[in-house]
Amino acid sequence: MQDASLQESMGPIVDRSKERLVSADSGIIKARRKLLKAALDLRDNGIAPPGVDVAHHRVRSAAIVLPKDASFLESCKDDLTAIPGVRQTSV
Amino acid sequence: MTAFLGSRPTLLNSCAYAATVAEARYRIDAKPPAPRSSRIVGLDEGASSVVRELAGQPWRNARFVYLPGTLQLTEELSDADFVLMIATANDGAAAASAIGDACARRGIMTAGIVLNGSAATDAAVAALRPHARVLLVTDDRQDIAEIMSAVGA
Repeated sequence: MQDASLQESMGPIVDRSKERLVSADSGIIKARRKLLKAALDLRDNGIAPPGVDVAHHRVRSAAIVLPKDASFLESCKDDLTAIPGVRQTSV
Repeated sequence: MTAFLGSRPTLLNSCAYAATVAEARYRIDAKPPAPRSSRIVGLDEGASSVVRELAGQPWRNARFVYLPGTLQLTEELSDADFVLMIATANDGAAAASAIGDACARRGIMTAGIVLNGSAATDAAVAALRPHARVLLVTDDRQDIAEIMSAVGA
């Protein structure tokens, strides 16, 4: 609810020079770059944006508690793919 | 939002109220007053070569550290607001630990970026994860510059 209120109250065009982002916003920064790249790739090279390919629909989120020094890339690989009949991994 | 809604229950459409003029007055409508003092640390040779390229670009208030090499932590962190650690391998695990601990004690914001593309990516993630508050794994070097710009480096 709080996220939605902040997103929607920003209006259609935002002056980003007034933003006060922090390192925890790296997901937002990365998401913006991906959206911009997808739009430019579609316009300039006719490349379909991510999410159109049905394989992308099998990506799912997961919540896992890992040992402090484990790499989430390897440890969570199987949990990030949707498999019919298999419950989502959660804590 | 609470001030405007008063005793209204919070509903799925309640976020619409946040777009009103009454609520917008709570937003900070000004640029951040000063750039953050940032340290960009290449934790290993591969990362340091990327950091050297970044150092050639114009930044507001960023200093660059290349490892392996001498690291004067107290001096480097004395006026730092933000430390970004970059790794391509796990060679810099000890440095990441020292930097992460020092930043935690001083309340300095940290982030880590692991540049994907080598067999050592997993090891680099494992090495950096305990010591950076946020960790991004990416194939795109431009992400580093984007994060630096976005946080006001």
